[in-house]
Amino acid sequence: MNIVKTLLSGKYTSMLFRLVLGAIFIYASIDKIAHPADFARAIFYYRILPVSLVNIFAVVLPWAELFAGTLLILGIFTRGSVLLIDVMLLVFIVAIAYNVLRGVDISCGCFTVSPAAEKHGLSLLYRDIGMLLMGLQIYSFDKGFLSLGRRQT
Amino acid sequence: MQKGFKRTVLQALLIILLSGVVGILYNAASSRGISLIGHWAEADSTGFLVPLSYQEGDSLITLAEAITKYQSQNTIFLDARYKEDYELGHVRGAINLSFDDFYGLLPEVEERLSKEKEIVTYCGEIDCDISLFLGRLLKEEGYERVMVMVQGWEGWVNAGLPTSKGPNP
Repeated sequence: MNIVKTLLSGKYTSMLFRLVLGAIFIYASIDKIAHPADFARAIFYYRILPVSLVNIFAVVLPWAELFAGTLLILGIFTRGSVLLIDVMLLVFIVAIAYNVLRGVDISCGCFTVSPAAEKHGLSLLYRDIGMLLMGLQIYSFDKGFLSLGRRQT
Repeated sequence: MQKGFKRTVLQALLIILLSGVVGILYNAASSRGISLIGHWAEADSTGFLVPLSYQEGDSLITLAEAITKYQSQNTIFLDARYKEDYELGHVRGAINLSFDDFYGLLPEVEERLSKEKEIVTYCGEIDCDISLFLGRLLKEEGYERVMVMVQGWEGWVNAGLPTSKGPNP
């Protein structure tokens, strides 16, 4: 039990999670920054935001992912960036879950009863929940190991 | 603890601020940049937010343009949806030419069309695409002045424009 606890709260675990989560966010942001119109369409298809806010989200959100991911890896503003990442993940999770529940296929924004679409939504959901758990671990236990930023206690 | 959390939130806000500034500047400079306020409800006939199946050569018009054409009473409106959907409600005066039975219905509908007149096609809502496909088939048949009303039936109804029900226009 102690080993599990040590592993879960350990500085190496936090550091590993920082690298992994940071890399995922950087990777995810690149394509969105390169193709804002496609990303705007994807946001539109979630059918959650008011249409007037869709584009500004598509313009700003990928950069928030890029900066937060980069800072997380570098260990600068670690808690701030992981908080931002956790909040983003939480929003994504709620958005996906909401659409799975009401039967919107987020790949086309269309209403569907297709089991494949639901499965797709659920796998996204599990992926994001996994990332959120990593984020919460970092938020709770990161000791600034291998960080460029000032160590915070 | 509380002070630490305040600082964390401040850091997060700084990152958001930075992202906003960089994102907006980058978007303004990029050739792929998009308008900051989306025109989803009023799809832009020149710009980027067009149906997924859009191809070069498709002529798209906004709801506002469609209304102007409708009021001129010199434009033929074609409903590309199934007969059942058409009968539940359609643009008043629009003729039903289901994309699914295009060649079956065309001979009958043809006498009410004119190659000189402007034609506006529409389907269900903003991300349906049979109005685009119908437009392409009509162009192949020599109807050059075909345009697609991107917002479709949904946009028309939401704008409170004239509609009617049943099998007749």
